[in-house]
Amino acid sequence: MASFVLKTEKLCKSFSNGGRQQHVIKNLDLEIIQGDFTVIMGASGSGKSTLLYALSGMDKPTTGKVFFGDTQIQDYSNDELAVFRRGNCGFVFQSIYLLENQTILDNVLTGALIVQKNSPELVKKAKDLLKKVEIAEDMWNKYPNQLSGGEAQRVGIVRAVINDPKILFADEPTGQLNSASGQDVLDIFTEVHKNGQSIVMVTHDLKTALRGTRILYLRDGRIEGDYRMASYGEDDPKERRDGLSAFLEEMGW
Amino acid sequence: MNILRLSLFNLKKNKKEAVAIVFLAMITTLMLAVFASNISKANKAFDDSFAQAGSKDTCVMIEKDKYRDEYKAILENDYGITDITETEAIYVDILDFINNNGEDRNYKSIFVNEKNERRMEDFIKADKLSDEEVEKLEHPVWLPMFFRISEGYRPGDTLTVCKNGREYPFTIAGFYKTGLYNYSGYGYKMVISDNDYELFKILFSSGYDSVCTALCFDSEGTEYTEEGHLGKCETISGENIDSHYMCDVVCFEKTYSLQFINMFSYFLAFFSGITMLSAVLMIMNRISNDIEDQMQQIGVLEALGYRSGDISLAYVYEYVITAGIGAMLGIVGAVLVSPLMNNGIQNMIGRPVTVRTEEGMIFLAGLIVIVLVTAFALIKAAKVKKYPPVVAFRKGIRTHHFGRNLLPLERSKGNINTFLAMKSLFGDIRSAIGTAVCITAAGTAILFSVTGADFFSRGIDGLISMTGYDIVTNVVLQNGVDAYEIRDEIAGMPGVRKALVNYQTRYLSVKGTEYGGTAVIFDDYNESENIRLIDGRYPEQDNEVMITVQRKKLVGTDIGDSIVIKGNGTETKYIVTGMTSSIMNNGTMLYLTSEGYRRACPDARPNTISVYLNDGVTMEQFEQKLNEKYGSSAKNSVNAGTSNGTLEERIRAVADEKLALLTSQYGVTNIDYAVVVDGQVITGNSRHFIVKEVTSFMTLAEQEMSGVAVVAEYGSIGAAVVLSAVIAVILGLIASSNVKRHRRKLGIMKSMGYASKDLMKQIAIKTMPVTVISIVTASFAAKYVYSAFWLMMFGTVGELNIPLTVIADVILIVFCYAVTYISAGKIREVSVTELMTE
Repeated sequence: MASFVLKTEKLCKSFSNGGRQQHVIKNLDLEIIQGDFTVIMGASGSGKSTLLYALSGMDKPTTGKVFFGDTQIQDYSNDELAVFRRGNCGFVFQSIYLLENQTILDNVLTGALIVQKNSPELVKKAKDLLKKVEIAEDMWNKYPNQLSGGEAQRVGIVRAVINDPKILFADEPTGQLNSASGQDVLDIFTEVHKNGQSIVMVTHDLKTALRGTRILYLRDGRIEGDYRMASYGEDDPKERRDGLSAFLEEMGW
Repeated sequence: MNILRLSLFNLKKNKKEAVAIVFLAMITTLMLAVFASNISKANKAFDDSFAQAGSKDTCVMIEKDKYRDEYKAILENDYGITDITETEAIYVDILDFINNNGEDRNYKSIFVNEKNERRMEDFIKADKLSDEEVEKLEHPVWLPMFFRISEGYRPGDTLTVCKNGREYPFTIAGFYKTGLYNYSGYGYKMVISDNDYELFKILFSSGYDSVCTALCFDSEGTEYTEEGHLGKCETISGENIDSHYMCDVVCFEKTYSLQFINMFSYFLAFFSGITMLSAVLMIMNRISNDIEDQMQQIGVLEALGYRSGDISLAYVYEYVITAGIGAMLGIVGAVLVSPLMNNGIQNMIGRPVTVRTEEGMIFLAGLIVIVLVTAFALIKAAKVKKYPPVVAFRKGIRTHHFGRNLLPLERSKGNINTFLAMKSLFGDIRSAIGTAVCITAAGTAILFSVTGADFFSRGIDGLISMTGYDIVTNVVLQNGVDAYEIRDEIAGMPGVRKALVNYQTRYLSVKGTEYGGTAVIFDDYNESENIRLIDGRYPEQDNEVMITVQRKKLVGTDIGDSIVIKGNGTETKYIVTGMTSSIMNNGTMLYLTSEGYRRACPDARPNTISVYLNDGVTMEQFEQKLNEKYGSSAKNSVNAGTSNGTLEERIRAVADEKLALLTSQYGVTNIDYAVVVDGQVITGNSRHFIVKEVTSFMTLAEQEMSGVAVVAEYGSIGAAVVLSAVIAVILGLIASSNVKRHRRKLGIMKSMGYASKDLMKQIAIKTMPVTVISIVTASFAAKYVYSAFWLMMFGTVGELNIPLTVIADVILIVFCYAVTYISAGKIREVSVTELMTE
C-alpha cells in the first residue's frame, strides 16, 4: 500500500466576510501519496488555492487536522509553520515572487541558507540546478527584472527544490507565462517528478493538468472527483488527454 | 476636495505612523512653545516685579565712615543724575541664621528700618500677618519675596540671626516686593524695627560688616559705571574706598537671577530643535517612501487626469493634518504646563510671576512647526512631478535593480539573518543615511541629557566640581600663631588628608572693568584639586595671574594680556598666564600665587589652614577634634557658658569670653588682663587662643546650589526620557515602514520558511550598524555640545562623563535594537496567504 506524505481529516477553512462566515473548504478528507504528481482543479472560487495553502502550512485550517507524515501541523504557531515549511516544502507561485533586490543566484541561495550553512557544495548545487533549467551563467548575477517571465519561473522552481523538499507545491505556475515558456516550465516539473518528487499543483489549465498522475476536482470546498493517470510520457498522449477531458467533462468543467 | 479625501484615506491606512508624526509634532511644539513663552516670561516677570516695588535701578552703599557728600555730588554733576535718595543701611557680608526648623542658613544680608526702606522703594507688603498680630511682635522682620517663594518661609515663622555666639530671634511679619537686594550675590534686604536696627548698627560695624550710606538712583540712560564713579570718588578723597563701596544694579541682578531660567529655556530650545530635525527628516523620508510605494497608484491617478501638483498636495495635506494635530496638542500642553512653569520661574528668580501666559508665543511656536513641516513636505512631495503616468505604471525605473551585487550570498559566512540584514542595509543606503541623521541628532541630545542628569544627580557635588575652587574647611588662626607649625599638626590629625597654609582671601577689583573677583591663592596650583587648567599655564611668578573663561567672555582679557588689580591701597599689574573656569562669584575669580597676592595686599598674612578632609569626615567631626587639640575657637568662645566651677574658674571663663570677642570680632591682636578679687590676683592673656574660627565653603554652596541641582537633575532626566521616546518613535516608524515597504519581500521569505523572528532580527540587525555609527558620532557631538552649553551658560567648561557615556551608548544601542525588533513585530501580521492573494 502506497504511503501518504500528507493527509487531512475533516479539514475546514472559513473566512469572515463582512461579518458573514464563508466556508471555502468543507470537512475535507484527503491523502496525498508519496511520489504522486497531484493536480487540484476546479472552477474559480472552488477553494483550490485555499486548499493548497492549508495543506502546505502557509495558512492554518479553521478546523480539522493536517498530518504531514505522522506530525500534525494544524496547531503550529506561525513561526513553527515557517520552520516546518523550510524543511519540508517548496513553493512555486503564479506571480513567481522572486526577491527583486537580489540576484538570481542569491534568490536561490536565500531559500537554501535558512536551512543549511553555506558551503561550496551548496553553491555548486544551486548553479547546477540553474544550468539544468537553462539559466545561463551570465544571468546568475542579474536581477529578476532583467529576466523574462519563463526564465524567472524557472529560477522560482530551482529556489523551490534547492532544499529537496518532501513536497513541491505549485499554484498556477504557468498562469503568467506564454505557451512556449509554460511548456518549458512544465517539462521541468515533469522531470522533477520523475526523480521521485511529490508535487501538489493547482491549475485550471488542461495542458498543465496532463502532467499530473492524480487529478482532484474541487467544487464548493469538497472533492468531487479523483482521477488517476500514468506518469507523463508513459502512456499514449491522446488517450491521456481524452481520458482527462472526459473526467473533467463529467465534473462539469 | 478629492485630494483631501485621498490624504484622509492615506492617513486612515497608516494610522500608527500618523500617530507617531502627531507625537513628534506635539513634543516639538510643546518644547518650542514652553521655551518661547518662558524665555520672555521670566524677563517680564523680573521687570514687572521690579517695577511693582517702586525701586530705583541702582543702589550704591558706601561705608558710613568713608562716605562724603562729594560722592553724591559726582553722581549729580558728572553723570547728570538728579533724583538721588540718600539713606542708610547695614551691610552684612555673610550672616548665620537659624530657620524655623532649626536648620542653619547663611545669607548675605542688608538690614534697614521701615523709614529707610520707604526711601529706597515703596515697601509693598504681599503676604503678611494681620496688623494686630504684627503690632504684638517684639522683633518683627519683613523679608523679600525670595524667602516666601524660594525658601518656603511663612508669616509667623521665626528666623534667628546668629552673631558673636548670640542668637537674635525674629518673627516673620510678612514679605514685601523688592526691586534690588533679592539675590544671593548682592544680599537680601530685610526690614526690621527701629530698635532692632539700632542694635544691629552696633553689632555689625566691624570687619566686612558695616553701616553704610545708601545712594539710590536710576542710572539707566546715564554714563554711570561703578568703576568710573569709584575712581572719581577716590580721586576726590585721596582715599582707597574700593572695599567700602558696594553697588547693585538691576541689570546685574537680573542677569544672575535669570541665569538658570535661561539655561533651562535653552535646554528646551535645543531639545525642541533636535526633535524638530528628527521629525522633519522622518517626514521627508516617509514621503519619499510613500511615493515609491504608491507609484502605480500615482500613475493611475495621473492617467485619470489628476495633475502631479494635485497628487503632491495629497501628500502635503497628509502631513499638514498630522503635524497640525500634533501642533495643536503641543499648544494645549504648553498652555497647561504654563502654571507649572510659572512656579518654576518664581522659585528660580525668587520673585512672583504675575505676567499672563504668552499665548501669542505659544501659537507662534505651533505655527512654526506647521510651516516647517509643510515646507519640507512640499519640497519632498514635488518628487511626484518626476513621474509621468507610464513611468509610474512601471513603478519608476528607480525601483528596478541593475547595480553591483554587494555581499553575494555565495560568499556568506555565519548567520544568514545577519548577512541578509547587511545586504539589505547596503541596498538601501540612502534611507540608512536619513536614519543615521535622526539617531545622531536625538542621540546627541540624549547623551547630553544623561550627562546633565548624572552631573546634577550628584547634587551639590556636581556643581561644586565646577566652582573652580577647592572645597576645604578653613581654619583661621589667631594673629601671631605660626601657621606652618599648626599646618603640620593639623596634617597629622585623623580624618585629614591634606593641609595647606593659605590666606583669608578678599574680593579684588580689576582696573578698567566692573568685574572684580575673589582671589584664590596657591603657591603650587598642582596641589589644588578643583582648579582645572583649560588653556595656558598656572601662575608661577608674583606678577602672574590666571583668569577664568567667563572673564574672557565678559571683558575680552586673554592669555598674554595684562590686568591691573586694585588691592589694599595698591594697583598692581599682572600678566595673564592661563585660563580656568568657575561658576562662583559670577565666574570671575582671580588666581594668584601667595607672593603675587601679597603684592596686591601687602598686609595679608598666611593665617589660614586649608584642610582637606577624608571622604565621609564632616566639618563638625573635624571641628570637634580641633577643639580637643586647641580648645574652642575664639568665635565659639564668645558666648561660652560661665555658670559652673569655682569663682576663679568662672572669672577666667568670663575673661576668656571677652578676649574671644575682642580678638575674633574686633581685630585686637593681643590682650593681657589682671583681676584682683579679695586680694587674689587672677591674670591671663589671649595667647592661648589658637584658632580664631572654622569655616566651610560647603555650607554656603549647598544652600545656594542644591535647589538648582534638583531642578536640573529632574529636568535632565525628563529630557532624556522624552528624547528616548522620540528615538523609540523614530525607530518604530522606520521598522514599521520597513515592514510595510517590504511586505512583498517579507511574504516571499516567509513562504521560504523564514520565521517572523528571523525577519524581525534582520530588520533590527539592519539598523544596528547605522545605530552604532550614529551613537558613536552622537557621543562626540554631545561632548562638543555639552562643552559649548556650559561655556555659553556659565563661562565654564563642561566635560562629558566618559565611562557614563560609554554605558549610555551601550544602553542606547540595546534600546534601539529592542525598539526596532519589537516594532518590526508587525511582520507577524503579514501572512503568506495574504501576500499570495494580494
